[in-house]
Amino acid sequence: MRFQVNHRVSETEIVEGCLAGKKYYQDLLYHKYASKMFGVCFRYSQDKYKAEDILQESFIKVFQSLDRFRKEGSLEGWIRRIVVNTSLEEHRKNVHMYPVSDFEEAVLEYSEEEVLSGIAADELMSMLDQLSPGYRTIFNLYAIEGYSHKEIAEMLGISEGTSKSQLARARMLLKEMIVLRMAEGNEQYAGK
Amino acid sequence: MPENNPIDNIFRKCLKDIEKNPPLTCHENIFSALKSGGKKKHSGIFYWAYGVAALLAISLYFYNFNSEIKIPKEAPAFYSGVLGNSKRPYFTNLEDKTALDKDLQIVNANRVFDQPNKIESVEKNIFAYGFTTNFLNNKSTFQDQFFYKNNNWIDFSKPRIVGYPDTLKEKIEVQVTSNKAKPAVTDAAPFVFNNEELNQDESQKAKWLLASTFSPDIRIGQNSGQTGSTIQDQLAFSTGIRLGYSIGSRWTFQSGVLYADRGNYQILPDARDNFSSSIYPARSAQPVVQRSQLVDIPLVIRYDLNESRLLYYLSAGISANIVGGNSSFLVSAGGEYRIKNKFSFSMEPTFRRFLVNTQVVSNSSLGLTTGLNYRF
Repeated sequence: MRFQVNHRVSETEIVEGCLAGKKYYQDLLYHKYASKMFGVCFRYSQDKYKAEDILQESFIKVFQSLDRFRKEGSLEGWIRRIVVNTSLEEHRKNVHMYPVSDFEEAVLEYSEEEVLSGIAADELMSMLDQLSPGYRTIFNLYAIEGYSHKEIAEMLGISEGTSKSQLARARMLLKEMIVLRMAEGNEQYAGK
Repeated sequence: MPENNPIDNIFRKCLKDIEKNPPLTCHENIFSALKSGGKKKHSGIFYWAYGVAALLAISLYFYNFNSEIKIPKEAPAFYSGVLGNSKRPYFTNLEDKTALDKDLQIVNANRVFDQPNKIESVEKNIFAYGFTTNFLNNKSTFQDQFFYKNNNWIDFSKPRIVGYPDTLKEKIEVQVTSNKAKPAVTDAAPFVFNNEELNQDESQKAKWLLASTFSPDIRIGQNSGQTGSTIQDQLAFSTGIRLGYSIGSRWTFQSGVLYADRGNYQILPDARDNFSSSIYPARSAQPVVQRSQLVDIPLVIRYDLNESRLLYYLSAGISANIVGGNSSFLVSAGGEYRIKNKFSFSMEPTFRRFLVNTQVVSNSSLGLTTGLNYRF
């Protein structure tokens, strides 16, 4: 049976309930954030099973270190950081990043609105999937999570220059995919 | 503060809070991991991967042990390849070996038979030593499994045949390439040789088999105990020595001496046995323990279903009892795995049916005969 998330229960109650070892609150915490966090895992990992593993590992960490949650920020933000860090741990094991020498700034000839109305979220996710793990991770951290190049460099143990060049390359590749997709969309539209 | 880039904005707006439902197993795994101290459970795919890897490892293990790879210490004289329509092998030049060692490397080899259904009659161990070939083509109907040794030797001990509609008796194609990245010399034919020593080994195959065996036995079927008694079987077993002699390549006649502890069972008294009156004094309610310790002489004929390191066989025969007089007939199907050259281990589930009805216990039993065998 599907767990019904009671949205009236506050974060503090959830945390305290979990710390008291109450199963209901643990379930509540999991079901409240699992879908969002699985989305995050998916962005960092191309592989569904890897994403499942990251999610499981992240939630185990969440429950085991909940007593260290200081309630200074939101619970969701804290969990998200754990998920991102766990994704990065996986990333560090498998990916080596080097600066990309020649890169130029990607300029998109479509407006944000045009793109967002023409391309579905799943398609954008699929574009992100097509990037190599290095590009995808930097793009995720910078463009979506909002980390700075300095923070990314520290998190991944790379130079800021590498982070910048990888981001630029990622943008360029994504731009090409967007342009191609938009052109296909326009052709279909014209064909009708 | 990150810059305002349209590409970033598109992806951020669309994907930052995207939700995807994780499978239910994630929830189960997390909470069962927390119960067991936080050790993460892998998702199903890992179990599959582990399973497949384990199967692969086991298969490779058995493949390697079944390969019967024998590399001669020195290259014996060898026959040239049986090529084209030639059926007669011819000698080739041993000195070519030097050139191969230095410059060339075998990269491919094929073996083709005209009678794939008779593959078992073909020599199992033929070593091909190729130095060059112009016979390289894609016409072969199968590619053999082969094994590299020092880049030169190939073992064809496990041929897999698909079929070859030609009239050739046998053909081996060896493709070689130059380590110097030059095309191999192509003016000579590939060749093959039969290892005479191996042929000799085949002809001098061990005829005798000495085995020590042990078999736990359980009775199967309904006990036919007398009215008013209950029968409780206890462990039965047989152990002893068997001697076998091969008749032909697949048949083996076996006999030996076995000590068998078969009838180790209790007959419990019925409640009526406790009835007493002034006329009939109470009888003893102690269980009657019957035990038959026998000496059996089995006479068994065995047929091997294949000829490899792990072979399967069927056997049947009788077991004459020289003490109690109740003989039995035996049927079994088993497997024998060669551990070393002369030693092997066998395991065979055995069905036994006693010829004389005892009226007390079931006449059938099932055993698992395990044996350590020595061939000479």
